[in-house]
Parts: sequence; structure tokens; C-alpha cells
Amino acid sequence: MQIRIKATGRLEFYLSAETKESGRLPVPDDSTLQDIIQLLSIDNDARFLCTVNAIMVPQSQFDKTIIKNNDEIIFVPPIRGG
Amino acid sequence: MSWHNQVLRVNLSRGQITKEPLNLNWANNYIGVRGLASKYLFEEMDPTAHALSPENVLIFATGPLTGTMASTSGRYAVVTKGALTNAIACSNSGGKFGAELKFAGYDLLILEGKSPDPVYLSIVDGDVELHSAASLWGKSVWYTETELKENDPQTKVASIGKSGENGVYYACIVNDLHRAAGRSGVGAVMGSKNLKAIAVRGTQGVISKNPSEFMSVVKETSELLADSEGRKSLTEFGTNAMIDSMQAFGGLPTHNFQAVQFSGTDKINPKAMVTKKENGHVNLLSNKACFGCTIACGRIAHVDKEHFSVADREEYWHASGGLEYETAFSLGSAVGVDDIDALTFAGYMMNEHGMDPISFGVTLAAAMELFERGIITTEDTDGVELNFGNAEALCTFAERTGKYEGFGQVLALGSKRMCEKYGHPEYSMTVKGQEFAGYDSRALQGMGLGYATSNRGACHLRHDVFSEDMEDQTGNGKAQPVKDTQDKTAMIDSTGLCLFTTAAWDTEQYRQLLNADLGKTWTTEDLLKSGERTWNLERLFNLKAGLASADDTLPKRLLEEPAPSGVAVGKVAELDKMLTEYYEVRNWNEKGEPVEELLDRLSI
Repeated sequence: MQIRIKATGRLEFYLSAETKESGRLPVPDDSTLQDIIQLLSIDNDARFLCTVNAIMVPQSQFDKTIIKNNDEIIFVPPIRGG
Repeated sequence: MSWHNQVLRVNLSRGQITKEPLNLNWANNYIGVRGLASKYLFEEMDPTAHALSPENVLIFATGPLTGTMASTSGRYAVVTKGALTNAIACSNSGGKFGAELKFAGYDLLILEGKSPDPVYLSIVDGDVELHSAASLWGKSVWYTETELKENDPQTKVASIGKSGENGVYYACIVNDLHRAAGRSGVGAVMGSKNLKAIAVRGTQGVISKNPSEFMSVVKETSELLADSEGRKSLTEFGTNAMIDSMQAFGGLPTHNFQAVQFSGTDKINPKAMVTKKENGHVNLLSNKACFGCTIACGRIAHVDKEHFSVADREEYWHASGGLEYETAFSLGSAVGVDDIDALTFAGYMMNEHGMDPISFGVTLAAAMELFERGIITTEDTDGVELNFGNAEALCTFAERTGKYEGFGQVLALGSKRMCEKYGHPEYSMTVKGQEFAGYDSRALQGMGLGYATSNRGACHLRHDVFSEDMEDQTGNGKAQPVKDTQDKTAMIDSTGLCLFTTAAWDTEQYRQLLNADLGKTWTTEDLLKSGERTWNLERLFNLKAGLASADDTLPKRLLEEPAPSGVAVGKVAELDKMLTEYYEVRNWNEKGEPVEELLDRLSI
């Protein structure tokens, strides 16, 4: 299946040029959010927040959140100041 | 120790210049900058005095770490009663001016009274003089600064533009061409005193109490900062990195807070700033650091020469301050404009004429809503169709407000006074008269509580609960972290360092730097207590000035109109619940007044 994916700020470095361009990523069926984070090799130490279809997912739920075809995942760095 | 132990006092009414020792007892309790200057203001002026009267006092304050080798040590603040808010104002700026004031031998500069004629203040180490500013009055910040640096390019200048002279309620004080003590109308206060500029040259440096220990701590803390992800993001993308995050989250105020996501974000975000246009123009040229800064979040940009705003105005083809998050929000999503060159030009106008872009943009957004609802028409707006998304209107009124011309004189009132003038205060997105920054408090609930209780009116830099807000979109449990981070922020603002050091540092790092620099034995508890003392002193100033718990509120829109999209879709700001809890954790009574026991504990 394919998902829609976006990462902002320095988290964008974890996406390939092709994924950044298309905004889409093929992933195995029944993947969890944690599976996709591992697929992208996002550093475990990198602090980030994540929405699935515009709903914030707590870190404790990453491995329990099943991703469906065409879901939209956005990775956002923690925000402060500005 | 990095105090010169000297205050420069200038009575503008009498043209009298005196020097006096710094009150080190107060410095021991309030550290410096925001806290210490608030103490001086509290003791020296009647809080009920009109902000634009000679009775107001204007203080330029450095901190013990200003001008030292500590990273980001270029900060100073202007503390006064704010023209925009009628509340205590503390407006912080970077650049090089603050360090130069310190190098000239002064910890604080206190300005009293009102000069009978326009003047500027010249400080060259111990030589301090007032000069006629007749030839500068009516001129822009950029003209003034260039003139005052003509004889010595090393001179640092803080000045006001025509907006400050004319009492634009959100006029700011600009130093180093595009850094500013931006908020609450401190530039209007300076203008009301007939003071056009302060030009300072200092050659005395600063001396730490324990130089070798201080340098060791500087090295450790600088390395910690260098390695942090937050620092890397600020260096690479600037503060505007947040626009993508807020857009994704659904907290990006759009069309005067009628929406929380902006369709034009991709045209004004950090990627757009480095994208080459068809004609080869790229908006961003480089980043830039303030004095002593190892972050360099500042952006230097230029407007496309073919853009309508500058096509026939070669004087604006040069590089200058570029988009930061707050300008991308206030001159972009708030007014619905996604033309990056228009935003950049409008930002130039803010710097050249000395205005706070947050307040200007949010005021223009309110005017656009009034226009689209038919409350004002082209008869009010100099014939301009003032619809959301009108880039030409943005550029036109950025300049006209700066020059105090036409409908710009109405926009000069700020959102609150303007909306009241037209009988619709509900469209003003303000707290205590000050316009919101770029975070919607339906999506960021703790931010809403922070806005409502900020002593200088709506402000995103008076607390730091971004993490809590991003992880939980309710008001539950937000009061304590808002209170704690308000105190902590007040402490950091009192050191002379930049808040962005919190990307890597906690209270312990500030403690190590302050203790090594000053030869103190402060604990982290001492420092946080100092921040709490400052917060409560500011609150007392406001209460004496006539503000009350009724002013700790948010606009009806945020309390009653649900967020239309994003992670907080359907939610409103849960202020009532948070505010009751907040007063309790602050140890304030139901009127929002600090109780005697608290004042005793804080030695206020």
C-alpha cells in the first residue's frame, strides 16, 4: 500500500528525494506507525511529534497505531519560541 | 564581575546627565535586564501615569552576561509602561547595541521627562551629550542610523522612525538596522519624550569575577548548544521552520484567526525562501548572528527587483532582514498573503519605519475582516480593496502606517483601539491591547493561558509549554507548567542571554554562567525564585496601573468559535478552567492579586 507522508524542518532529511518530491511512500500492508518510523530510519534520539490524518499520536501509541492505505502521516519537530 | 556598577541617568526635561552606582541589592534579587529594570521602574514611576506622558520612565537595561563570551550575550531590553497596553512593557532585542552600551561602562540607561525639542543621546564611553535631532526628526530609522554612524562606523544606534514620533501605538525601537525592541509600543514612548536616537560607542569591555572558570563554563555550554537539534534547526531554517509545523498541527492563525491553517504556507516557508524563481531570484541570501551568538537564527534576504513593490525603487534592492516565523505569520497567514516578496518588502517597512510586525499585521488582518464584513469600505481605506490576500494592500499600508499617512493613521491605533473605533471590539485578536503572536490558543491551550496572563499583553515568549501543548490538546494540567516556565523565562530574560539557548540549556547552565561571571553561589532555586519575584513585581505594577483579573482573558472568538481544522478541530480555548487553577498555583487570590504570604516569601 501507499501512504501520504511529509516531514518538516530537519526531519525532512529522513525522506528520500523521491519521497519528498512525490509526498508518497510505499509501505507493507498492516504496518504500524512504529514500523514506518523504523523504515525511514528516524533516529530514536530525534525528538519529534507525529500526526496521522491530522490527529496527534502519542509516542506510547506508535506501535499500536495501524496505518491504512492513503493515510497521511506528518512528522513535526518540537516547536518553541519564534 | 560583569557589572560596571554604573547607571546612566538622563533627565530629558532638564537636559541633565548624571551617573550613579547600580543598586547591587536589587541586582542580587532581580539579576539584571528585565527583572532589575522592572524593579527600577516600579520604584521610580507612578504606574497610573499616562504611558505617553513625561512621567513615564524609559529604561535600557543590560544584564550581567550581556557583552560577555557566553553564547547569545547580545541581549538588552527596554522597560517602560507600554503605549499599546498601558501595562508594564519589557521589549527585548539582540544585535550589537546592548553589548556596546555595556562596553561604554553602563549597566542601565534611565531616561526621564521629555525634551522640549527633538534630541538624540550620544554616548562615547564616559562622554555623554544630548544633541539636537532637528535634522533627523521625520526621517526613517535607516537614515538616522546611517547618519549617526558617519563619523565612526563602530557606533551602535537604537532609534525610532516617523511612526514612533507620531505615536503609532506599536512603534518599536530598532537597533543595528533590523533588530528591534519590538513589542508593546516602546518606540512610541521614546517618541513622546522627543528622543530620536541613542548612539553609543564603548571600548571598555567587560571583566568576569572568575575569568578562567567562566571561560570553562562558556566552552561547555556553547558545545552543549552547538550539539542540540533545536540549535541546528534555528541555524539552518531560522525561526520560520515553525510555519510548517504549525500548518501541519493546525495552530497557524489565518485570516484574523478565522482559520488555523493557511493554504499559502508552501509559498512563504523556509523552502520557498531558498527556491529559485523563473527569473533566477532567490529570496534568502544568508543567515546572521547577533553579538556573541553561536545560533545565528537571523535571515538576510532581498526583494526581487521585478516585484511590484520595488520595481521602480532601486533604494530597496539591497539586502536586509528577512522573514522570521512571526513575520511570515503576521504579514502572511494572518492577512492571507502568500507573495514572499510582498512579505519581505513589508518586513523592510517595519524595520525602516520602526514598527512591530506582529501588531501591524494582526491589526491589518482585523481591518481586512472589518472590510469583508462591510463594516468599513473603500471610503475608509484610501480607495484600497482591503480583502484578505491582497499583497498590494499589505505593501501599501505597511508603508503608509510607517509614514503615518492616510488609513495608516487608523491602523496606527492597533487592533483593539481600531476595532473599538468601528464598534466591533470582538474582531480584535488581542490581550491587554497587544496583538497575538502566531500560535492559535484553541490548538495550543497552554499558550492561551500564557497569552491571557502575560504581564505585557499577548505574548508567546513569556512561557514555554510548547511540548505540553503539542502532546495534549486540552487545558488539563497546563496551569503549573505555564506558571513554572513564566518564572523561568523571566529569569532567563534577566541574564542578558537569548531565550533560544533553551534549545539546549536548563536552569543549571544559566546558574553556572552567572555564578562564574559574578562570583555568586546562587542555586537553581534562587534563580527560579528571582524569576517568580520578577513576575509578581510586574503583576503588582499592572494592578497599580489599573489592570485587573478581567484583563486576564482571551477574545470571544477563541473562547466560543471552535477551531475549524487541524488536531484541535472543534475545540475552543479552555481558559476558565485553566485560569482558576493558575491563580491557585500562583498563590493569588480570586482577584488575581498576590497574597501577602507570597510577597513576604519573595521579599517584594
